[in-house]
Amino acid sequence: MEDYAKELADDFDSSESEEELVQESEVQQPLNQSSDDTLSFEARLKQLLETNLIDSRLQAILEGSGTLGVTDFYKFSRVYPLIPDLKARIAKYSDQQDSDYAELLSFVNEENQTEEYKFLLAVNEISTLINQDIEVFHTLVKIQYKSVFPELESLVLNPVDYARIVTIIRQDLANIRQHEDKLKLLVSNEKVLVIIMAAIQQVRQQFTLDEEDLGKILSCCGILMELDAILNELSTFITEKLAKFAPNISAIIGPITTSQLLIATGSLRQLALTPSCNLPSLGVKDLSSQSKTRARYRQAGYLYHSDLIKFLPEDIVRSVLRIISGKVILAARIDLSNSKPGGEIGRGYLQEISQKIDKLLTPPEQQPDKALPIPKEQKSKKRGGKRFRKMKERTQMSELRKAQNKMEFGKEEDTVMDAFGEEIGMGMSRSGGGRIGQIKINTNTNARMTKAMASRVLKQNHNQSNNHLDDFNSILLPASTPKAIESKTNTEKWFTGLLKRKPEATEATDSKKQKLE
Amino acid sequence: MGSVFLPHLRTGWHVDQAILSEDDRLVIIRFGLEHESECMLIDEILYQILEKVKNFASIYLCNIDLVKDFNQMYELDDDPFTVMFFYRNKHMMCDFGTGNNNKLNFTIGNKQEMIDIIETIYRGAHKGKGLVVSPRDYSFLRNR
Repeated sequence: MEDYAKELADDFDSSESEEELVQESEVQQPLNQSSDDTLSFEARLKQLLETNLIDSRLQAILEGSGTLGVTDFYKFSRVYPLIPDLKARIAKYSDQQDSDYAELLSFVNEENQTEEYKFLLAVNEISTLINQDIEVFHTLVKIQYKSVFPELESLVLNPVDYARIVTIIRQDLANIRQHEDKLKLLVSNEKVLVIIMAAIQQVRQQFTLDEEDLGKILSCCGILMELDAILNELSTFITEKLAKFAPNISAIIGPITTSQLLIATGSLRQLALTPSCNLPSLGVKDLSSQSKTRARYRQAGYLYHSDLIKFLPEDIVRSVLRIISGKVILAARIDLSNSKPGGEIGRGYLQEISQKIDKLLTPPEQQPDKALPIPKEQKSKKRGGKRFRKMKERTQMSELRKAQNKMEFGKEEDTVMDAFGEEIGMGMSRSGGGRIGQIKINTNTNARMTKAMASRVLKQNHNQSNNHLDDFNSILLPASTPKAIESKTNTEKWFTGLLKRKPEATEATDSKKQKLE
Repeated sequence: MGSVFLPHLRTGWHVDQAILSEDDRLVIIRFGLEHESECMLIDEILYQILEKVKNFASIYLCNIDLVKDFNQMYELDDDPFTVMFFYRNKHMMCDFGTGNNNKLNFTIGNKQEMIDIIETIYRGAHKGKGLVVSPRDYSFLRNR
């Protein structure tokens, strides 16, 4: 910071001394300056752009100068001395533009860019500088004019309008009505009315400045307006250039944003190669910045600040940015191929985009409440029956469980401990549920087998036991009648439960038989 | 605001016609004065549920200063508002637990409660009952 301050002080001193010189030789001044400028215009421009320290500069002016003593305010503006040159160059390049369009395009594609292209890029930076200068002069005028008409600065916020109004009304607040027509050209009728009312209120306490001070204010205003004029000239210059240079892109997002994007990417070829998802983040000032003025939206770059998006509500900005950046990249490719120099496709895209924005901006359709159905009670389709009853019984609470949940009056309850050490009350389940006799156990809840399952199990068992039986039959009853065997198999079918035991028994008898033989 | 959008019954004849005209829907009439705050609340609720219950109920408003025919018969003068239910020209009663089964004369908390009451009354009315029990008990309002 100290370095800055020192530098500024140096700057200041040098300019002051320069100014003294200038004052001494007023006649020679334009000649000298112009010769200086032509020699080092590029260098000065570069220097200007590099030492871009507006905030501290303004402070230095306010602190160090003692504004009242200064008679010439030109030195406060860094851009002001360059204006004649800028004008000259604009004139020069805008004359050429028709002839060298193809040439210009070729520079952009190549790495080595000519001076004209560089100038085109520099113009963009200068415009921000000019804006800063305008701000400085606005502050200066405000400070000085405050004693005459303090309310004006809050009524008219635009610096240029402010300066114009100051030059119109000067100190003549009492006769402000005479200037009404002129004021109406600058600001809206309502605003004029408010200004006039405020001025008439102010007349009584007005502090009249002497002619010299008023002269200073007016010269400041003059510089401010001149700066504004050059700004307008620059923007029309850029517009004209870019309308030829990148017609489709500038048809979509306007020349200013187009130039910003071109500068950020470096060239039209680069812009055409950029993925559209990267476009919104071009020109984002500082991602880690803590300033409160930053928009809520993360990717507040050049596109975010373009006229198309600036006034849209925050919640659709995201999708609009996506739509626009897609179209801009397409337009950039078209411009690169130079197939549509008239920019028709760009305009088509713009129309498409604005339609989409309109669609996004329309509020969702309001749906009327859906009417409730008539609360009629329908009879259940299920009717009773043996099967249905059994099905219900299977899920019902068993008698035993019901008895467990009841307690006998005036008696201690039987309890058991379960596996988790919880005490479980048995209720009336032990004593018969208050009825005479034991509680009937619900047999419906027993494990059940489907018919298919039961027959499969039966078949399996049958096969197993059949093997043994065959042996047994062959040994025991070699000459038995087939009828006997048949009856055997029939009984097997009915007493399958016994079959498990049977093999052992038959084996035992078998061995006995063998011994006997 | 709700009272602006709901149909008003300007004379006793209109009230009668409203009750007689509906064949298979409940007729709900709010007797009261639109400018009273409690009445405004119930009007708002009635307006909000109008669309939802339109299949089984129609809602009307009646200003008891303009139509004085029923004030004595239904004892409408005492309350800020009275909501009454009719089905096929028959007065439907509902046991809210407040002691007065003839009418709904207390502020109801939300729309769903009102819808539930209307549905219950409709169900009872459809079965031919003259008195139904409210789905919610409002006996806590009794001592107010």
